[in-house]
Amino acid sequence: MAALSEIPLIGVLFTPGLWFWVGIYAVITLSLNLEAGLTGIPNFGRHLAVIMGAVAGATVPGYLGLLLLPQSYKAEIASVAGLKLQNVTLGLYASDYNSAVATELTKYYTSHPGVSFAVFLATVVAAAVLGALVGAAAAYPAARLREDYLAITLLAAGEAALIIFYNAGFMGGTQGLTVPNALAWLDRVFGFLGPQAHMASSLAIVALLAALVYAYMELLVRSPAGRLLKGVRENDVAAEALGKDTARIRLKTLMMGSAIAAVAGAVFIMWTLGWIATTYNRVSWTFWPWAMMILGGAGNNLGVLVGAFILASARQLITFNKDLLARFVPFDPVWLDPIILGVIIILVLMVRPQGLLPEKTTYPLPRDLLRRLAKKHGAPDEVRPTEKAALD
Amino acid sequence: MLSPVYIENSLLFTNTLVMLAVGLTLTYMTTKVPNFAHGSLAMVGAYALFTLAAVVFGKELASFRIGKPLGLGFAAAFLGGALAGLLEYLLVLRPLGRRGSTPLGLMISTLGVDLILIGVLNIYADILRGMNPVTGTARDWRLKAYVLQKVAGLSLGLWLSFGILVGSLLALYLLLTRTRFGIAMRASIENPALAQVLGVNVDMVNMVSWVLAGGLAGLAGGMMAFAERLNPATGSIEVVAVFAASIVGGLNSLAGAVVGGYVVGLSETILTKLVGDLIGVDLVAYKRAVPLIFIIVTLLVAPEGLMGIEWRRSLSRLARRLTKTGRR
Repeated sequence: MAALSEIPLIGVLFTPGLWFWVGIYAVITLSLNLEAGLTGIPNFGRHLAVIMGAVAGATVPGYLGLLLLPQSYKAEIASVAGLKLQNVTLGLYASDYNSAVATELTKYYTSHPGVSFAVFLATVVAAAVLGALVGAAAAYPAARLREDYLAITLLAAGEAALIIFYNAGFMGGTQGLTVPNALAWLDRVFGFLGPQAHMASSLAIVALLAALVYAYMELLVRSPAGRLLKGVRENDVAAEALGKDTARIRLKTLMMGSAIAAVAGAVFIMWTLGWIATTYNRVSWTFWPWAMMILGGAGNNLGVLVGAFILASARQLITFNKDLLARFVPFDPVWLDPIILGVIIILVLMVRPQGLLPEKTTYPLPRDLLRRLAKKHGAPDEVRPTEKAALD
Repeated sequence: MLSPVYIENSLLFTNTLVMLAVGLTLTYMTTKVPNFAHGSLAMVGAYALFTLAAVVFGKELASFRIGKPLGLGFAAAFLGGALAGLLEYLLVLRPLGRRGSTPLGLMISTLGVDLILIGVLNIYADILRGMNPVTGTARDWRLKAYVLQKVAGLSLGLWLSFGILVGSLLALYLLLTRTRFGIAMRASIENPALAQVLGVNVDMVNMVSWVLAGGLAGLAGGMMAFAERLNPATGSIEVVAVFAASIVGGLNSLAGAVVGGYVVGLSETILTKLVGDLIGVDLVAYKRAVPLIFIIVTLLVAPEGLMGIEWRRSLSRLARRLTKTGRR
């Protein structure tokens, strides 16, 4: 791996970091595809759910860890921080002693993998619950507003959440937080990789998450529920006429999608082990996923994966080749990043609005099997259009 | 409590918000596109002004005096914004509209334009930094001299800000009500198909509305330099507040945009400060959440905005209800 990543220009494609980004964006874009691609809810506040997940990812390992921490570790924190033992309270996590607390908690988690696994599960559950809650809240305007107004509202909601958590004292305010490592249990498993252990465990978690979400989405589009979602998207009046409660379907979709995105946000924190609110801006966590979905093909899960891979790689390629590019251009090459994103969005909308892999009709079973089953149950032979023309 | 400087800054901020909300509403009325790049159009104007001030005239912004440089600076701001607005319409929105893009697709494309403008302006700012011998900066700049200089008790910046705002709104009002083209424009807002049948060039009307909206945004970008330090991304941060102002005004009335701009702008600045002082919490840090509250409340309670409410009827209904409960 190390040798491959030293290839000029494209070496970044062989670094594990890139694949982490691809995985995390795949999960978030799939969650967006559930809401926007399948159900037709233009959620321009994807970063809102990601922020909620990140909040869970930043607070649960810290505060829950401090609650569980044995006295001996607390004494260690007290001695490092120069405090009395009884002053080692929950408030210390988001204080000037944040990094001392985080270091000690990581040590504790590393030596107690069971505790760290429990904290990991608690974090994921907390993220999913918070995400589902904001998804449920988003359903209120979603049931009432036209799509452009809804998009503005959800975008503004994400921005507001960013501001609130940027100023929140328990999140360390504008300073941010160093977060203890809730993946310590898995890092031990990958201990043989040395300093790469954390990267490997983060990658394993994100790969597992992406695989689960992809499998869920594929099963969903093949199920009656998936066809119902598409029905709501295409014509909600018709769906209602058939007795479907479209408001409830939108509510469930938003809760599920936001919960998935929030878990991705928490996993992202578990990798970076740091929280700073400004990371969770609308460009990175709403516009990039939208571009990935549109490029790959809204409504097509495989397309979404392709889109996530292409754009996540493009972004990493710029970052990776920054110094090389800087020699040729009189500006900081990071600014190419928004330009490329914007141009891709507009070009795709103009040239191929259906995306690289357009949405296809999904059948619950392979077509041949369906045909055979139909025949077995006495359905008349299907007349193909060409045969029909010959008969006429 | 509120210091005079805080009030002046609030008014400077609010004036730019009003100016931006009017332009945003104008293009929404004519082409039905919610333009997310509107804030960045303002930054195009602001950087046109900066280019003239700092590079062409080579003046330090602190000693930038009223007169030719400033007049030309604002002219450049108007032209820069207008050109960017026109290009956004001609290169992106019109082709997409002709290809049958959905309203949502058009909206997403304006997000794309916003990102492109942010990138281009940042690149431009990087290049300018090398060209600007006096201040050596192209980020975090503001026209501070005008805020410090006092004329008749108020800062010069505030006078200029009100002057430009009132002048532009008056010119827009006269254009829309006193000229043939303005009347054609209103007709095509009201009913594009009918206006077209009657010989109005609707495409021209749309183009002009984008030029005007871009130009007003450019001027607003220049005015914003009185109120706060500017970066290439400042506009796209403020655009949420601009949307709030337009939505409070109903998104289909220019007068509504003016009222909405003042309501949102003054609430975000002065009201947060007053309420924060009252309850003893620093709410000013959270002031950017205020526009969101306005967006949600307006859309859910009165989606037609302030201008859509039939005030007389709702007030009489309220009065009736109050007297009824009073009798009980």
